Amino acid sequence: MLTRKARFFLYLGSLIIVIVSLFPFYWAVVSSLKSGSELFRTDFFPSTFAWKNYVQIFKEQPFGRNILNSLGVATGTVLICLSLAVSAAYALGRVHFKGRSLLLMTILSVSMFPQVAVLSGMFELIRSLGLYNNHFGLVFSYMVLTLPFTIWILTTFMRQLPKEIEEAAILDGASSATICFRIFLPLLWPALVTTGLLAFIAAWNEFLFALTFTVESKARTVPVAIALMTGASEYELPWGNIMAASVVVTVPLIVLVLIFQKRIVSGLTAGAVKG
Amino acid sequence: MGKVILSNVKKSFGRVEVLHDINLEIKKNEFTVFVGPSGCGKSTLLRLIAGLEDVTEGQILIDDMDVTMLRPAKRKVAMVFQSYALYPHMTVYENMSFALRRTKYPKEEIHRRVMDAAEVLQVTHLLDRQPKQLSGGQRQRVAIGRAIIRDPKVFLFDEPLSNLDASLRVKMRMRIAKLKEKLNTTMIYVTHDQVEAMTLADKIVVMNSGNIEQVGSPLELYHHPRNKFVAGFIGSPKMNFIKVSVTALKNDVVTLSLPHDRSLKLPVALPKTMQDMGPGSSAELGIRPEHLIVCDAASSLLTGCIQTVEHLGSELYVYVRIADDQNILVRVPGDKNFKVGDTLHLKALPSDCHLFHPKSTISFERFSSVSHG
Repeated sequence: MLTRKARFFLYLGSLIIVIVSLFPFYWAVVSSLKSGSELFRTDFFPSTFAWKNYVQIFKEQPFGRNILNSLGVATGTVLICLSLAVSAAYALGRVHFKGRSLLLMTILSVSMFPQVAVLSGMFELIRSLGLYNNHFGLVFSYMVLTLPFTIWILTTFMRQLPKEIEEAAILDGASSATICFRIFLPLLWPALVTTGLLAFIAAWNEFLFALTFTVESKARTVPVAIALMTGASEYELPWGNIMAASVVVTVPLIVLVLIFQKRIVSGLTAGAVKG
Repeated sequence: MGKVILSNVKKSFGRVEVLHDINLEIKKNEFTVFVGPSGCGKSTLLRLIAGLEDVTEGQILIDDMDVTMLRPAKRKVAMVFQSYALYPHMTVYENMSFALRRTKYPKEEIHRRVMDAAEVLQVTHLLDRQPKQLSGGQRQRVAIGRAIIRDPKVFLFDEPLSNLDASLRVKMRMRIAKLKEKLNTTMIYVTHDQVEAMTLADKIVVMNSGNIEQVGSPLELYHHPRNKFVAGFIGSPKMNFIKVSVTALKNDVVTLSLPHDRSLKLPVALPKTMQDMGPGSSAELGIRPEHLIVCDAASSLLTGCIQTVEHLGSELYVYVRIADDQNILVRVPGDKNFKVGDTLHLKALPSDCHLFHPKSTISFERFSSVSHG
């Protein structure tokens, strides 16, 4: 049992962490509901509820289109990334071949590259493939960001699956593909959800590639669209709109995390104890 | 169906050779048990037959067909794993039918086979459940069901009972014995438990550090162990080994000197390799705890002071110190009343005595082949 003092500090500490992590989002929500000069006053609670900002962002630019772009790009990235990563993880986790750990290390080191370092090379690559200003270009470039860590996480999970199950399947006449997709894939669901969500968030939030590889506002994804929002004159930053847009694009992520919450928790602990 | 021949099979992991030149023939419909201490290579040998490991050297034949290079699924063998290895996300029905669904069997045929196997193993009422909803014994039955449904030539069991608790283990052992009558298929069973080996096997293969020590029926191994390792491994409690020295050897009778200046004459047929035995050389006398008889001082071979008495209800295990550094175990009926500190006089029939050559530590060759009375 905790003493009263210890419990006091525990709750105090938790409160501080909650405030620090939630305040920026709360501030965004509050600001998004303000309009005009209200924006420049420091109110912790909104006095009026102006929904105008939320309407404006969809009217003044193709923000709905931007959200769909983001959804499409992030979903595409997750799907392609997971299917590639599962196959790769099967090979790296279950098949013995020469240079396996070297390959794993290479994959890990790729994920260490700063984005800026690969930016210009990636730009050339995407242009020569004819994917400039194209969503496939974004999906393609996001693989560089998401594949290394999805492969690593899935390989770890793949290694923890009992060898006997694989051997039983081999004796039952299952091919490698059957073992990978019919036996292991269903057992990897929690891991897939976790890594898939991480990849989705990474793709959803990505800014630098999205800014560089798109040119039309129709083709932009949400982070770029928000950053490039302009007001009536070029000297005005439409804070209200920006905040409203930020709230709109954060909500899907929160909903996703809540939906998969149980899966994530079991994904993070699966294999930790014998079940 | 299912004659298995291993000829000159060797297996190395890296530079370490774990199986040295194994030669073995398993007749069809024979229940063969590989038994030995952990690390002796018995599971590896089973996995070589299954095809889960590649043979480093040598050949494996099943029904006169060379399967050495064949994929596991093509060898017509089925295996039951120690950890059951059921597919956790599939129902019992799906688990059992998985192998057949890989092939082009018609659905009705698959269904019929699953139902048949389920009935044999009494898991019909569990077909819709998932493995996690089953008890250990039920999982084991499903695992066996998954194996028999493929109608294999050879069944392989890798320590199938060692994850079960003691009472369930006895039950499953009887089930497997019954299954063996019913299926009439070659079965190879790996265990480290010599009781399982004795009760189930038609033929026992005793293995030790990558070699086959002896092959024979359970009683053959019990009465005529070829060396000290087999003698010590088969039988529970373990055989007593008593250091003795040879005082005379003539006309196929060896005279041994025992502690306390007693002597014992044993009829022996001296094998050629044992020609160096003669007066003065030392040997080891092996007598099983159940073959020692309590007697009076005059007719006794061994005498000593009781060190410990263990009551098992039906019987007593009595530890007797017969010489300064020599304790032996005697098994006597439970109604006897012995106390620590008492003096006990013991004898044994010459036909229950085994004599082992002292030279090597592992492979004491059987010195005499005493026929059992």
